[in-house]
Amino acid sequence: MEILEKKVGNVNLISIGGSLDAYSANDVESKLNSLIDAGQVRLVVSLDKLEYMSSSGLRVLLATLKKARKQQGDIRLACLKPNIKEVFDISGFNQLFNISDTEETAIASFAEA
Amino acid sequence: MPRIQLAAKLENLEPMLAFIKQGAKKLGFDATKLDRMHLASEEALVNVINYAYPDKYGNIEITYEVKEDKRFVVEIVDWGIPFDPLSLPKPDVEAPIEKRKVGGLGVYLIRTIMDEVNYRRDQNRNILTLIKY
Repeated sequence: MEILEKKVGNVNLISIGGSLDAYSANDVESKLNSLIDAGQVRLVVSLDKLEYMSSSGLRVLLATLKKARKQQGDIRLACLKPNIKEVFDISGFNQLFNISDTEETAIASFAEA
Repeated sequence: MPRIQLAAKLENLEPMLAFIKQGAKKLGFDATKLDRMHLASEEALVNVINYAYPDKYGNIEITYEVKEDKRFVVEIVDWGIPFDPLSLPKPDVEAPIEKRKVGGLGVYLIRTIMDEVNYRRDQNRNILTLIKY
């Protein structure tokens, strides 16, 4: 699993690659939490390079989403591969998250009020 | 019948999954089916690793069998505390974010992905059976 991060305007773009599973969930959670704790609460998480996600990943995304929203922020997702999208659909997480097809769309969505 | 037994620790998750995947490949499962088998197996095994042995260490034994009718049957056995994952309430997948909990999601994914899921307790063992056609 790799995490890449960069700032795009006032949005942090985090790209998660590989697998978000029982092994890597904690590292991803730490990364997202450290951003939120530092007041970076406009987060786009791009899953363009993510090949696999289990409920450990869902757990982390839900927990950090709640944390970001408590600070009037949000975590928006982009570029879900079909198998990842399936997990989101089954679990109903597609209703919880703002999901975009591209990173640009997700980043731009923060510009709207 | 192929069988492995490993300590119920996260570091053994990968070899356990590789073992199951090896069996599924023999059946000619395509990439999507293999992916789903991997996911359901991970969910089942992580539950055992996290919850079966609260006070001590223990093992997980996995066997698989390809039935005559081409069903792929995986059995996951542990000697931990009695726990029927199928007795967990279904998560409310339509609840709004404030009400969403993550508990029960793993089992829900297993039940949705697998064609059949069975649990039984036999003497001191939990036996979870996952079946994919």
